[in-house]
Amino acid sequence: MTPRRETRFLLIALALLVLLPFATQLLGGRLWLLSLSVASYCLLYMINAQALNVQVGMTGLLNLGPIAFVGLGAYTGALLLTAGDNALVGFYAGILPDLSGHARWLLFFLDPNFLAYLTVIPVAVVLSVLLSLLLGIPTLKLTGDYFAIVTLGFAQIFYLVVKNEAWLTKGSFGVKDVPPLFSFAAGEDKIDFVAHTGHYFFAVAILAFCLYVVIRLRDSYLGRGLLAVRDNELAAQSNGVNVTKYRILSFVVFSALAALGGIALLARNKFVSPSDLNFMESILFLCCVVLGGMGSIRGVLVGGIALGALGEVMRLVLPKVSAVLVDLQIWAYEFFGLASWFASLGWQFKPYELPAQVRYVLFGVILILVMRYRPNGLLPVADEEHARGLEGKGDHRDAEPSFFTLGDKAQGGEA
Amino acid sequence: MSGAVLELRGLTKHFGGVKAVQGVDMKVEPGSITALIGPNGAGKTTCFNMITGHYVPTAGDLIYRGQGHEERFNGLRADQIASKKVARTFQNIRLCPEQTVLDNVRIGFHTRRKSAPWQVLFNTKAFRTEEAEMAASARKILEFVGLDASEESGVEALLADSLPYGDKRLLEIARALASDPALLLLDEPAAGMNPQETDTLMDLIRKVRDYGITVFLIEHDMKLVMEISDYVVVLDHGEKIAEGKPAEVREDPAVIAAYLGQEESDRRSERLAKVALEESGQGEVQPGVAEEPAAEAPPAETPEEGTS
Repeated sequence: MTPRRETRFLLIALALLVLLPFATQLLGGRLWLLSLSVASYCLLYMINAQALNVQVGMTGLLNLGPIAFVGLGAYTGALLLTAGDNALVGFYAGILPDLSGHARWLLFFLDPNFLAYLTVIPVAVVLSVLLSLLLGIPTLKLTGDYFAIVTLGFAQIFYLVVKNEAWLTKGSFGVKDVPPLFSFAAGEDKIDFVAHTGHYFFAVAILAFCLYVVIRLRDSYLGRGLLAVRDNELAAQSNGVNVTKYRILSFVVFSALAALGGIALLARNKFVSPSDLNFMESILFLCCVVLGGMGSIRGVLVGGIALGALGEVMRLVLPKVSAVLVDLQIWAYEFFGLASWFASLGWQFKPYELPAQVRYVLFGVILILVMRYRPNGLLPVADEEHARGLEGKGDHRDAEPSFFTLGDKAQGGEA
Repeated sequence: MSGAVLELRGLTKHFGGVKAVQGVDMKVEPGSITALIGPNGAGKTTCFNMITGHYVPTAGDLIYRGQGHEERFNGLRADQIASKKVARTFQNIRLCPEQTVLDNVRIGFHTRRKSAPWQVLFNTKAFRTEEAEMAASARKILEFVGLDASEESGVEALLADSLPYGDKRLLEIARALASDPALLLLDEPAAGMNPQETDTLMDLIRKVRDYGITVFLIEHDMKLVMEISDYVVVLDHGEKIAEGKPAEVREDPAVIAAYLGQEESDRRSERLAKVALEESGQGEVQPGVAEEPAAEAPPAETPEEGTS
């Protein structure tokens, strides 16, 4: 059986992500770190967009507050890791034997910090799932816009709680000095590969896990149930799909994966604050899904890369563009001798600086263009479905159709 | 199994002041093709929606014996009823348009699969076998309803939305059959079909019945109803006005009145009386004379079936 096109696409994408740090290392120190920063930022978008795709793309439930669940994951991790003066890391450091003489890979996997991170993952996931149940069970009977409003409101409440309940969340300063993913620090002169790329590969692993879960989900009766709920609720019910239960399932899967996204965020930044819970982040995750193609796993992956990279690149480039613009204005002011004219009008010369939010405007423009020219997204699911059906055709040719009982009855009737 | 597969006892549905269905009693016998007919707005689809759990009846009982024992359907959700081997199609086709033909059929297996979510997550052998069997069965069912599911045609990989109208109807029936129903409800299966397609559909419905599935259908195409049904129930303004064998129902003055108005019914009775008079007078009837009014009335659109 030849691997299916989609699986191949995703495996190649993951392989490229794994190879990226090795490739960009050749560019040298600063550029390497820059590329890692951009790529790990993209990874966060890819993970969270995949999570959101389960709910928005596959089940057709518009969630406008995914950042609350990502934030819950990140905050749970941060608070547990820093609790009692990094007690968890200390605990693992205490029980681990001295490994200094052993193989290097063992050092990575039996690192006290890494083990502490692995320990907080299930806690974060469970808390996030519980929260999704708490929010989902009473509200998932709501449909369409009402559910969107509830999630939007919830994300804002979560933001305000995190910002104001300083006894727990350290308030607007955020949780600082979260232990890094690996205990060994980067050398001062020499850049230690693992210390810098650890969080990146950690995020790639989380993304791979998310993709696995999402594909398994989609290619099963569970996924078909979700898609049926999205496409035709009445038909889904008539085929035995419990609509409320499947909506809750989509919420649970989303929240679990989003919590993983939160842990990846924490591993990257080693810091989490209410500013990470910005409403715009929710919208950007949603943009990744819509831009890539609702329900399309490949598409959403591409959407995540595109918006993540664009956002991070613009964050780096915009100040430089702004500086150039300011220089231009100053040059024009001097070249054309505008000083006297300004003075006669009573104006003060103050060059205009581009605000950082300009990137959101650009996102809007890009989204409009994509919707205009590719209304179903960059890699829409319709093409994919078709290809999937065609390629999967040979898979089950030899299977015995045991579910086909109509024929059996006929034979029974004749006998 | 004793008694009817489905029994409606005083089934009633009110929408505010509108009495959509009012005290309907009827039975669907096992292994039969039963038709529910009536003018537009008579409450036929409302009845179906109550049977399949999409509406909650205002009053009355729904008794179901499709699984060998008697159960009440009142208060069950649509998906619970679906898991009791009741499948249905819809008047306005309800497929998942952006999914493939094969996936649409596979949704129909939902109530029959056995693997648990953890088996899905770990992609266990049992789960993979089940999925493969489902796909194979789905192809068999597509063939059964008359959609070309062969490897070369590539029909199964098409998006459901791209099928021609008649095939969409067949696909919906295929999806319903995938749940291995004891009772199959068809809501206007022939709507929008041309005569050839309707003929094929009639053959299919008979074939389904012959496989031991009880068929209960709503239909406006009187040719289909009169030809294939064993029993016909007529609703008008939410109330049952007649029931019986197709030929009996066709002659029922109340049915003719419902379809054509009281005046036409009276005129027809007059003519029939005249024919009866002539009959007693001449001792012999010319078949054509008796057929003439029948040919005008929609419930008797099939002159070749003629007098009983």
